[in-house]
Amino acid sequence: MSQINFQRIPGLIAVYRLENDRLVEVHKNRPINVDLGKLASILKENMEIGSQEAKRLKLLDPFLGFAMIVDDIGITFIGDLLIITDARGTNWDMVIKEALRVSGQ
Amino acid sequence: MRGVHGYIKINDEGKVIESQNVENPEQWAEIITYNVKKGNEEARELGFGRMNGFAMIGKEYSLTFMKGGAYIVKTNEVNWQELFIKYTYSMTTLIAGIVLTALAILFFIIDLTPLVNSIPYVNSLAPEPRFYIPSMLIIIGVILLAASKSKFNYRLS
Repeated sequence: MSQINFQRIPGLIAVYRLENDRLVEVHKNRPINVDLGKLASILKENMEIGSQEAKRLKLLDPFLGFAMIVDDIGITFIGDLLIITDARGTNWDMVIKEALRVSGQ
Repeated sequence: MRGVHGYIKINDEGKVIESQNVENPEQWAEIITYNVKKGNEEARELGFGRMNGFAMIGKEYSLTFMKGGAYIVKTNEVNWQELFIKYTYSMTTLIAGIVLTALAILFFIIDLTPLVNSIPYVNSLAPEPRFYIPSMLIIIGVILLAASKSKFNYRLS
């Protein structure tokens, strides 16, 4: 798996990998006040729901991941890679395309 | 916008108001409405206020939902930054900037053109001290024009 170039992404808060239902820290610029256990189970659940929805909608199949903005925080999950960003300060094109590239898509 | 395939507009109850180039828009609307509800629950569970928007990313096509409108886009062709975020303009600042800049240009023309300032009435329109006033006006005008383009705003909220 290719290396992610963190310095290029503006507004980056942290990067994690989901490994065996646990979020493992890959890179952190500043602390984020989120329960990582809860977040991990939400990511897994959303991937399952998303895959089913993508199959029903056909066009989105195969489903690779999702992004959501909660308040001002961007949560992008593609493959097993979680990228947390400042939703207003980041460049979304960079975040999503970098995540796709790193996960080999 | 490049890479946009289709569009659906839905109301608060999840009913389709308008759609373009989308097969079976009701099914999309149903899934979007469910995801918004689910996303808001998850946001609260994680200690946030609300979900402002989401994207489902597929290999070829993706879905983004924003302000009651959903776009179906080509994952690799669309510019995600343009899709998520937009500039907003402050109308009052913009209009004030245009008016001041236009006035400054008008005063400069009067001050600098002998053909124009030889007409006594027109000449009396330009404020004193000459050059100084329109110079100040144009500086303020340009600052207002620059400031009218506000910071990024979510397209999604």
